[in-house]
Amino acid sequence: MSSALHKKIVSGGFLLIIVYAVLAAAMPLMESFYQIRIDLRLMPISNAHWLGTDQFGRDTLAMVIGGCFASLSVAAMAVIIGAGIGIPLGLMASSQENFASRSILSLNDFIFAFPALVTAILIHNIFGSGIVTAGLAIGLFNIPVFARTLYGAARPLWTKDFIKAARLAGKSNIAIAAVHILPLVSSVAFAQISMQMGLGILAEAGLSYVGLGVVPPMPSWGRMLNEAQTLIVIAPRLAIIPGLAIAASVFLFTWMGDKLSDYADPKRREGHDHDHA
Amino acid sequence: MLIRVLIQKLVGLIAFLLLASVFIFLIVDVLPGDPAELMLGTDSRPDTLQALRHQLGLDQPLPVQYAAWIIGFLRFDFGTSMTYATPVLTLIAERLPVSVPLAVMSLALTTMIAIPLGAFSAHQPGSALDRMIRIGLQLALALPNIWLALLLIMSFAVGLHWLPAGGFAGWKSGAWPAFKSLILPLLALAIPQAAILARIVRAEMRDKAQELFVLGARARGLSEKDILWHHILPNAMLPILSIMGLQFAFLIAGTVIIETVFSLPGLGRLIFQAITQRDLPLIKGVAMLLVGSVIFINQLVDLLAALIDPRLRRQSGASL
Amino acid sequence: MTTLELKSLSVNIGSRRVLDNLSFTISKGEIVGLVGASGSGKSMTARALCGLLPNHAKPSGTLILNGETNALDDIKAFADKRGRDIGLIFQDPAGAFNPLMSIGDHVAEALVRRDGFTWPHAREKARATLDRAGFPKSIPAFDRYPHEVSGGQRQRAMIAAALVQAPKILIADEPTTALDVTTENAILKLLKQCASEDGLGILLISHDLPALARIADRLLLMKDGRLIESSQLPLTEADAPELARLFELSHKAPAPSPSHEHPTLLQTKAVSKRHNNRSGFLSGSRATIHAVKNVSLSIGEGEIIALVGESGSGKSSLARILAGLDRASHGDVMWASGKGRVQMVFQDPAGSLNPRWTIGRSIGEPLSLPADHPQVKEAARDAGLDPALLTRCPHQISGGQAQRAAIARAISARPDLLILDEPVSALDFEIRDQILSLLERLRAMHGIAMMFITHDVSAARRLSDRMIVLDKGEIVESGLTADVFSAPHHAVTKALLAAASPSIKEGRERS
Repeated sequence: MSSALHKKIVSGGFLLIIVYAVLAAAMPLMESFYQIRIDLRLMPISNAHWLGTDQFGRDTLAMVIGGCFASLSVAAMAVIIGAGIGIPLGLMASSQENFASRSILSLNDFIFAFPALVTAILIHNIFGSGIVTAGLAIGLFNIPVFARTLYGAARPLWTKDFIKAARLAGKSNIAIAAVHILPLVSSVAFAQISMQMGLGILAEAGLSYVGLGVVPPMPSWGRMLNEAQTLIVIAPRLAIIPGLAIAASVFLFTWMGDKLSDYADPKRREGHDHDHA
Repeated sequence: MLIRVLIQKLVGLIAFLLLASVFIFLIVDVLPGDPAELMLGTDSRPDTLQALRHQLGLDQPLPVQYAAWIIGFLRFDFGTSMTYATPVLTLIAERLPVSVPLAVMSLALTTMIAIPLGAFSAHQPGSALDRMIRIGLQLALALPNIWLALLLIMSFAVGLHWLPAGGFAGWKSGAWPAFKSLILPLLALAIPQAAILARIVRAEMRDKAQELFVLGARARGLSEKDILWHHILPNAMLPILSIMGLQFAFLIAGTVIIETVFSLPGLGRLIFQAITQRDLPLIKGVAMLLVGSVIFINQLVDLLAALIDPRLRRQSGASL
Repeated sequence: MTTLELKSLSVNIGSRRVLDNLSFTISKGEIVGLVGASGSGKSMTARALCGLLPNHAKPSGTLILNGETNALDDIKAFADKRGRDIGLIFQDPAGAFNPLMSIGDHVAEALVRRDGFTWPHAREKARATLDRAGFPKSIPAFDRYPHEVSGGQRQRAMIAAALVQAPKILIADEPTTALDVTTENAILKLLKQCASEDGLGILLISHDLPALARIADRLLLMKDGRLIESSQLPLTEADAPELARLFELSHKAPAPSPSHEHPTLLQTKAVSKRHNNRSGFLSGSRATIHAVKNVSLSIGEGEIIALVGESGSGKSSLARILAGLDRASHGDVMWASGKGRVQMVFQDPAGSLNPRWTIGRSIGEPLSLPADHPQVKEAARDAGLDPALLTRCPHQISGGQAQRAAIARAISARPDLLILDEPVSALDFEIRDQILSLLERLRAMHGIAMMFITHDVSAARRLSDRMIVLDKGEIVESGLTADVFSAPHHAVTKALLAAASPSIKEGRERS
């Protein structure tokens, strides 16, 4: 794939992500459409309700647009926690091999044993259901994900001769990390951010489905799936539509993550296999 | 030496389990404030609260409480559920015949789907088959398992009436009826996970296919098939195994959620009831079990890697 | 008797012709040496002969093997010949072996999978072949994995894996490049033996012209994908002027040293470096390795010292300590001026520059100067680098240019001591000569003291005033370079000097 085409595709993806963010910001405007109106319940698709209404008379389209907010904010909070703590940890562990770096890696392996759902169950008593619980729970699991990726990308760089040259030029570890290492691993970090946004949206849907995510009246795609389950025979669209919204947004982010990581890997960017000749 | 690796993993397992127990104890028993108040509500009478505190041992200092909990574990005493007034271990044991087969079979199904798909895709990178598989995987990766579950129910249960939409017949009713009620949950769990794993398999196999030892094997005249099965795949298995260990955490979480979707009487339903009832001993017990099993599986995976890889098995001075 | 005849081999990659109309023959028991700069198409030729070209490369031409004619673009026909008729061995980074398979099974495998041997039977034959290839009998080959044996042993095993199928032709692509000089000699001797005793025809590819000249019967020289010279050995200038010229480059006479009186710049007192080789968290075993043992030396201002030794002798560990990149476990490094500034030039030019930085930015790094600062341009010019290249990134310049950039970066900081860690061993012959000339000129211009770390004694002879030979972390010999060359004392020194071959005109060992 040519570099120019690649750039176009990536910028197209960014555009879609911006549209998504705008929709999320529009949630307050939607509020009047997802008030409970029993008189309007289970209305079919019509001009007034483009995607119909649910069993409480709430407009499905408004609910879907409103759901962007919960998804995006939980996933973003989780990524900020994960990347904010995980990236420095990974870089720190990569800079040298000593007790501290081994401890960081062991701690990573330990946190991997806490899937978001288990953490959410545990901290539910402290924070109740809501964006904070979901964001923290997913974010905790994101920490080792980011740390491990950055460690893997940065570790081989530290043994390069240009790092030794930078040391001889009098640069400290932190300065080297900032001017040499970070720029070289930033594309890996961006790819992982995009990937974790997608997986975060998935995780948020799961938590909301079991009642550990955002609470009503804030709309949430996961809870929409839960509420639609009993009506699966009479109104299957209520289950299909929010699922599509989740799948489409996860696809957008994970696909962008893939494109960015292709970009980070020059071998793959050039589009053909290298040989060892 | 393999024995040394085994001991290493065992020590790691115990250390991680202890750390996990401290973590769970702090979050559930210490951070939220008074567990008795949490369980009974703030408006309950002081003497009832006091009675519960005494019953739970909350009037003891924290280290004593923690020690009591941990010593209980060693004696297979996970405490007593508040809502069921039954030992936590009994409650958990009742649910395991649903949850364990579901988790184990979905891991097996994930692997069975992912490895051939990833291998096919890696075999001829850039081919039509490869591109088709990759698009399929990218789509499957984005599927929320709950939604997939609902779609499966709509088509195979509500539409075609082939399989039950939910509930569990119980193993006593025979293996087939019981297994039938697990088929849709299994698919819903395994398909998105298989998509994640197959992508890793593909990437790792392509990576290993670039290694010099593949050129070496070709120079000795080995067939592409032999090279794939005897050289590329075993080497790709190491990173794949470690990803599978991580996936087990997702599978555990997924199992709990999917059990709820299909109304299966597994650990999932137990723990969500415990949350609504604020049944702290039960929450701690189930959480410890879930976290412990992930830790155990990951140590097991490391051990397996050492079995495959002589470099992990023994470090000699020959190469530094 | 001609075993292999190659007729007009050409290879195209896209519209680019990378190999152009190559023809040569290899007779029974003959060793044909193939030389050329990197990128001249040596390895491509080797891979074309084995039908192992990358997918996007399109070959044409014919190959006559044992009287049977094959079209070179017929990949399928090659699959059967590979290994059976033509064996291939290549450089031994440990990566050439499957890390999960025992050394012995690498040899036995093809017998089982291609010829239907049972494993025990195949292993029996493999063991015999390993013995033939000089793989130590004391090592249980079927219980040792590639990472557990030395580079030389791995190379013997690779040769055994090629010999086990009894091919008529062996293509050896830089088989000794990663090895020590003494091991290199042993491997070359083994190849010679295979040719003369078993009648194996060998195409030996190398950039090490002196080594080739010692064992080959005939030399081929490639340049830009063409065969430009072919000559029986010994070489004559009339037959092969270019080969003769390259040969001379490798043995240039030493530059006269300006003076032997140097005020002391730095001294080390009984410097030692221990490594505790710990395999990981919670692991029980520890091995202590002495990388540097009790090294006392002094370096004078403006002096060039060659630090010579085989790989693993502790040269690089000592350099890291002198550069301050590492601390000595024992002993002191004392500068006459209190504290000295050290810069380094490394072996791999590509790895010593940040791939995303412009050359100018890298050169300016030690002095924190912007890429377009006049001082940066001056340093580039000093190092013989066109200042127009300063705005480029490392992948846009050649290896020789990258090495000049690394030298420019090092001298721009006006260091007291410049440590050169194998600065020319990754470079082609001509570039090597240019870089060595550049270093001579820089010394004359700036009088920077240099420590020149190398296993290439002819380069050491050309450049250095004094020579220090290191073995297993200890100094085993030191003295004026000329003295060490004329009268070496220690066995290691003698071995190193013996490996640096005599000039072709002085005669060549023939069997």
